[in-house]
Amino acid sequence: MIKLTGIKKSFGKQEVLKGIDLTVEQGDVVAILGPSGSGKTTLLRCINYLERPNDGEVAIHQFKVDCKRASKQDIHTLRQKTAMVFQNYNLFKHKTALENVMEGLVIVQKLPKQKARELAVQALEKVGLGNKLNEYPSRLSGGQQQRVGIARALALNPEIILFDEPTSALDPELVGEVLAVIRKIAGEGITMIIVTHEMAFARDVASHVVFMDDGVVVEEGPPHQLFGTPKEERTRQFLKRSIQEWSYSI
Amino acid sequence: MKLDPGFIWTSFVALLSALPMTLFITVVSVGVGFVIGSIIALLRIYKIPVLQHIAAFYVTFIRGTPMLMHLFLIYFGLPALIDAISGAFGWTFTSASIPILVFVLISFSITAGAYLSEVIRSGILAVDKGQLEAAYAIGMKTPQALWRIVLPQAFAVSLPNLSNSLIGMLHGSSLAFTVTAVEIFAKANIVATTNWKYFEAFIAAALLYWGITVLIEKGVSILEKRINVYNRGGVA
Amino acid sequence: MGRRFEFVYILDFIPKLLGYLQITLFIVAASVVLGLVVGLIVALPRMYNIPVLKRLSVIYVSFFRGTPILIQLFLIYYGLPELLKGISIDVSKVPVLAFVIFTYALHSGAFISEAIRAAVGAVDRGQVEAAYAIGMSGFEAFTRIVLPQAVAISLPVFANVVIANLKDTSLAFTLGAMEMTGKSQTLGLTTQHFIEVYISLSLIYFVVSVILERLFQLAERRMLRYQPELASTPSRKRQLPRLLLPQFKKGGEQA
Repeated sequence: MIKLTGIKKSFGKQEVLKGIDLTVEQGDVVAILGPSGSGKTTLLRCINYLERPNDGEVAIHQFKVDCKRASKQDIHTLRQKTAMVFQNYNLFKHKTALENVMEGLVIVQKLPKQKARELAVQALEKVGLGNKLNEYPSRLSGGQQQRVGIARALALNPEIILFDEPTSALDPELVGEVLAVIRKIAGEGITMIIVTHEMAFARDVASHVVFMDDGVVVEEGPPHQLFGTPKEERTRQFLKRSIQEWSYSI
Repeated sequence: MKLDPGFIWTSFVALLSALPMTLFITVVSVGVGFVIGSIIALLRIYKIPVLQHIAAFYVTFIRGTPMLMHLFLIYFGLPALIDAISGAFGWTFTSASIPILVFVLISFSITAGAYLSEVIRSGILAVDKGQLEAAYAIGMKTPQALWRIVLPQAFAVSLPNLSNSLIGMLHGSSLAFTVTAVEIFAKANIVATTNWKYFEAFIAAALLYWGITVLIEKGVSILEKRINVYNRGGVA
Repeated sequence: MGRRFEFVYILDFIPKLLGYLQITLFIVAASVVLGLVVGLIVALPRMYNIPVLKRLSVIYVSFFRGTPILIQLFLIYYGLPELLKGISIDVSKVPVLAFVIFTYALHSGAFISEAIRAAVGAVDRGQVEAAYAIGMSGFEAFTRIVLPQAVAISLPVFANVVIANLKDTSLAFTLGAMEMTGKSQTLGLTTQHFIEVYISLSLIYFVVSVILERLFQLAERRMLRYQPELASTPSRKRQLPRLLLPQFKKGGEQA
């Protein structure tokens, strides 16, 4: 179980997160929706301390990190329990697909190379890239790169995987392959939080949907409830706008 | 021998008399070098047969050898060549009547030309091809398109490198002392040896060069900001 | 001004000068290696934003890039012994070559520190974040992810520093150091065939520069094999610092 309590974050004078509480149960797939600038990416980055919250607590099972007292070691441990998939992939440019996935296993988890290699190959096969093991990122399409990114996170066998808008840097025709992979691993009971703009995907795959706006959680609940009978006016507005955008894009 | 701070100032003032010479050498060699460099760059960009290869060799050779060699080769070689030609035609003219400074300027211009040609070439090539196409599309002719569209953008792109070349030539001008042209460094040598105060004299010279360099850098960065107005923002 | 031009002297001088090539190369190698150390030390305060030290390193870089190397050579050669005398260390027996190497090390250190800084800055911020996200420590992220990429990125600039250093060694003769150019002076004076000796000397410098440049290109191609197109894009050149005299790689042609 992952539990965020009272997370606050400001950049200069601007308060981006105004005290967020969020609980994610084991095996949950949580989708965070919200307009640009609502703070959803920042919230995600606070979970593994890529952004250090100004206030609040992050807890993964029994392991609790209070941002006021967080030591380097705490942050390090927190990061070992989590994994992240980035919007622009952030694959290590000087390493092949296989090396990218092995890197964390060998350096952080200190697995023997042979074992790390096995796990890495498995993960890459799972995302359908068993034939691209030795390619450098620059030779892969955006969709393939993002799948390597997912494999890199998956191989670490973390408590939770954080997806930061995993498809928004992709060309439209490549979005599908990445969503398919996420859908597949979501079905395997891995806990994850996905910040996304893909409404249909969130509706189909998520077990729990969170709508954020202006640094607060406006509304959360199971997808059928949030999409079907949203309680808050702000949620309704957002959904209406988003649905209009879809229809334009079709 | 103790450091004499007062003498640093004395040397500094003495060196100022040689400043015009340093600036003259620098400005002339960069100016002439710019003309040479532009021609070389165009020969290579437009891939003029034979000439482009000569140009490429010139650039590689000059960049692959010390500036001091260019100076020595011209200083010793050119007069010999002139005298040989003069003798062959029975002229009374000899190289001895040409001031040393001329050889210095010729040699440094040749050096600067090679470096500047690379600056100019890469500046022009850095301008998006679409810019030229757009210029043609609205009916411009090649010279118009080059002059009005490509060059201003190329200049903005190459400004930092131009400033580097200028500073490089400023520093390089100190080599002229080896052939007895009295610029700042030579003057510092004179001040140092006549007073037996080497350290002070060279500190003064260093400060003078440093000051000019910083001025050039500041000037260029102001110019850069002005010129790059169109380039602000965007995802870099 | 010397005797009549005779071609054979060029051939005659080349082997004589080559005998001193090793000294020239030694100066280059020693000063570049020391320069790397200096460069790293100078770059660190600015990368880690350490108060006071940061300003000092800015001044250091500005000075060594802002004055002719000839001046630096003379300053160190005449100034350092006096400064050291102040703390009663006698360096009057130290060979000229040591001063030359020391000066060139300080000089290239300034340029190398800029190269390091620029290269580290050029590595995408996301690379570090990804490293942190998979649980690496700051040190691991730097050594395993940032540094290898930074080294590859800075290689062309580093190559320029080395080649510039090679060319600058020609100035060491002004202090009486006996490397190739120093030797050329004596050869010129004894034979009075100056033009020939400088032609020979230029040819040697030229060949050595070209070889060095090729070697660095090979190394770069190897190190950047993960990004084949990177070696030649002009946009990348603009991210790099403007170091030295113009320092363009051949890559410009592909733009």
